[in-house]
Amino acid sequence: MAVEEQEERSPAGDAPVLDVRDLKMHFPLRAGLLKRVANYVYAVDGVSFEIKPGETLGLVGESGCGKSTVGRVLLKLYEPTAGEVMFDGRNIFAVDEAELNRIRQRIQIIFQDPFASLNPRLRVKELVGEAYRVHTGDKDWEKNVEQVLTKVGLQPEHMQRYPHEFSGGQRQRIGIARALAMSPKLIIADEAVSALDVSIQAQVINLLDSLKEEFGFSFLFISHDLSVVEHIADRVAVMYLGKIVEMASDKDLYQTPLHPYTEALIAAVPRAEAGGRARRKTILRGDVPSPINPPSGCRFHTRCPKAMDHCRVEEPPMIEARPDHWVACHLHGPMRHD
Amino acid sequence: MRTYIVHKLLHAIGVALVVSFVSFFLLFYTADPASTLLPENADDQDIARFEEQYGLNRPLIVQYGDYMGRVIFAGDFGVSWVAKVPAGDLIAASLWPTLKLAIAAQILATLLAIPLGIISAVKRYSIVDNLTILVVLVGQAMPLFWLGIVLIVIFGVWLKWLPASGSETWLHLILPAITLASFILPLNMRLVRSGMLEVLSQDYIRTARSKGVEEQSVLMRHALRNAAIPLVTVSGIQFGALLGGAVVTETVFSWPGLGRLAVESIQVGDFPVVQAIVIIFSGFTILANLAADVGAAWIDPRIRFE
Amino acid sequence: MTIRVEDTSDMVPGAGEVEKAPSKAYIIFRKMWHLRLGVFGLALMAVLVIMALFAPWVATHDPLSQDILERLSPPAFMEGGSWEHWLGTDQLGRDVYSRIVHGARISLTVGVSAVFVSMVIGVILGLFAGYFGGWIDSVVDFSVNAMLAFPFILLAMTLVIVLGASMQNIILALGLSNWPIFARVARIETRKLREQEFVIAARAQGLNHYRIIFKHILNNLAAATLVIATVEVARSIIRETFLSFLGLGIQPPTPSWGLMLAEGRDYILTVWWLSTLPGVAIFLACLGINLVGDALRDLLDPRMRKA
Repeated sequence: MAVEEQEERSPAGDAPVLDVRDLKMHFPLRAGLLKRVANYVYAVDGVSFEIKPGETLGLVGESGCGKSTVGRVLLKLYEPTAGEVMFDGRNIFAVDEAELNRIRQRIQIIFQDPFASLNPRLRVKELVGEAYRVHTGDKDWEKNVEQVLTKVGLQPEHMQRYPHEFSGGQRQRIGIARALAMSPKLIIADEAVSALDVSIQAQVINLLDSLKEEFGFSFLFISHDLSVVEHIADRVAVMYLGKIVEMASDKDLYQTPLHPYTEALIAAVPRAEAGGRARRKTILRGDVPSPINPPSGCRFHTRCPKAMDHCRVEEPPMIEARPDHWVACHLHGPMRHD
Repeated sequence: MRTYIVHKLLHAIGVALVVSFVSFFLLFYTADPASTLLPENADDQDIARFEEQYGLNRPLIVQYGDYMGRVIFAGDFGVSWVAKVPAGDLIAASLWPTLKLAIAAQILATLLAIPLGIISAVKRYSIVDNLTILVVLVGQAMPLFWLGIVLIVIFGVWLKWLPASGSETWLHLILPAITLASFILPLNMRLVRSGMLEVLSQDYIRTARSKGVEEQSVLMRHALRNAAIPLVTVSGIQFGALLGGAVVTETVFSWPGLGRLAVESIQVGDFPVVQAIVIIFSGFTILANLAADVGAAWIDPRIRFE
Repeated sequence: MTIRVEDTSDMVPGAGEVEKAPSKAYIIFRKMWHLRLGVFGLALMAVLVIMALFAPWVATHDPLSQDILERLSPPAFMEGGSWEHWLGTDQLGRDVYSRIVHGARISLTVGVSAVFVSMVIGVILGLFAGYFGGWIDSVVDFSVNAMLAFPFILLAMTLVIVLGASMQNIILALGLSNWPIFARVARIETRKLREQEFVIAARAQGLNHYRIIFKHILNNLAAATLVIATVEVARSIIRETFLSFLGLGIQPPTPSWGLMLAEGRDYILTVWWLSTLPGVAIFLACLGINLVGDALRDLLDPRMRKA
């Protein structure tokens, strides 16, 4: 069975680099004497998307919507509850530990916190070069480190230093260099710039943009900041409480958002465009509900300005409302009254 | 709270069984009691008779089961190989002196640690603070048995103020109690001091102060109770240390307690008595730990949910 | 691009705690005082190490050679003493100074080796328990509790009786009974480190568990472990002297401080210095080691700095 799938999805042509199918990550909450599972946190609850070679997918949502969990569970950093993640035609969740570690070389993550994600006791040389050295056994690995450091705008001399000798922006460059060193097919950037000052954010975004042009990797760009995503992404997926509610090309999504949640997010972004249309009409009310007991029906109904009775009961399916523009909302698509 | 106690209780029973089994294994299986106790010229028949007499020729697990059964249901710890009397009787005679010593030392250490710890935390960098640090440093580097000897020489031999050894009167208790107290004092002072420092930095203390609540009442009402938590929490672990220190102290002062009995019994290979003392000591330690866990959870409800 | 050197202290949780602010001058004085204690400790430790390493050259006599005619002679600073035996002689006429020097070698060897044994056992168990969790964690946690319930000194004594009294066995007995403290600290620290983003990053890079445990996590445990190890060396030295004092440790005629103390005790009413001098040696050695341990804690672990 696995073989068939492999052949079917050979990485040639336009076949996706990453194909995520109905991914679920429920974290158990344990309680009592025997540590029985009392409840679950439905962090990711049925997420599907794909990324084509060289494509950048932006994944946006408020904090706590599960977008960072998606990034991590893709690499099986958590034990997934359900779903498949096909990378280059292989199911990451079905391979053994050694194979998993080989696949992980081809998918690299850039983390949010440039302080926490670099081991304080290792030199830059080790931080950037270790995985490359271990996996390739290349004796000349320091050359590779020098090259990637130059690519991200650092000096080869920085190799001998420790992370605490660098500023936040520089550390994030080290994190990027670490990802690049493995020549990955896919890079996951998990809020990679949100911990940085705004001026530095722009520098790092531009750096990522040009690196993408140069190396042609696919890119999953996870962020809560729509303006940042707009700048870098080809397609955007919007997540709310563990589910993707809308997915479309960058242009379609920002110009004609279909889901009320997407509208609200876009409206909340401060804009400097002259003569910009009055978009500040929808403001989100209330707090994000707990992912431990997500609302019934459409998860957004508790905060949706356009919620109908029907929304409380039935969960809207994901439909292709326009060509290549997917949305999960009862306002769009066939409404059933039964 | 009830599940927490049940959980801790089951854990404690498990620990007690493992400790008793390991010591039983060490003493009755890996060591060779017959060769230790019988005269050098004992022949195979003598050894066989000895092993028969004490049931040492049975499988280890049967011996252990039999032994623990008697301990639990009859309070019978077996017969001393040397004194030929029940080990339980020897222990009963030594129990009270050890408890007397341990309690006296604990009271002494607490009475010193709480005020000194508080003063050194409140008046940081003062003479008392530096003195406290000095006591901690010296106390940790001083071998307990040597301190005992020095105290005997100074107060017992030179000044002749106090009896050097024995246990007849309350005066005999003073030097051993001071010695044993010095063993646990450094840790106690450290705990009170750091606990107090942490509490004093909390928001509610600063709020109370800024509201003009009198300093004394701030310290007593808010700080002391919280500073006592670490003391209660470690009192369980410390009880084990206290018993260990008692072994040393009793040996130096010829104090007729369990510690001296243990040392003597180990030296002559009287394993039923050693095993009984190990069970008693670890039993006390486990109970003290249990009490400390429950006590800490009672004072600070957050602990229960960890 | 400029390199900014940042003060890391404000990133460590708990380091920013507010306290009654003493004057700046006092803080500086305090630091210097602390530093001085550390330097003093280092000096004591250096003397100890030199004595241990170069015992035959530092000593003035053979520590075993007896001279019945010269027995129980007092130290040079007392009446009747001579500089030939400047710390006097013992009940068999052996030179006390030379025995103390050679005793340093015994004490340090036993202390360091015993701590090494417990450190290796404890840190490995703690790493695995903290990293993998699950049943490994339960087993290690349970063993630690069981070991702590066992009266330490009785355990060590029992092990020596079972194994037989020799230097190797004392090291083994002390080492096997003292690993829980390392296991506990390693376990707690590893649990915290396991959730750190840099560990997750290492996993995301496809590095295997053993590389992560023994490189990325162990690296960050080194400081805390070193501090504990230093203090534990002092405690092991004291424990060894007590075992020897009871006759369950180093056997005569080997010059062990504990043994010298025990032998001198028989003469305590008349020649008090005989058991006092080895006691002073033990005290100074342990004081030095503890002071160095405290200084290391201050230097390596900013969280502890203010406690």
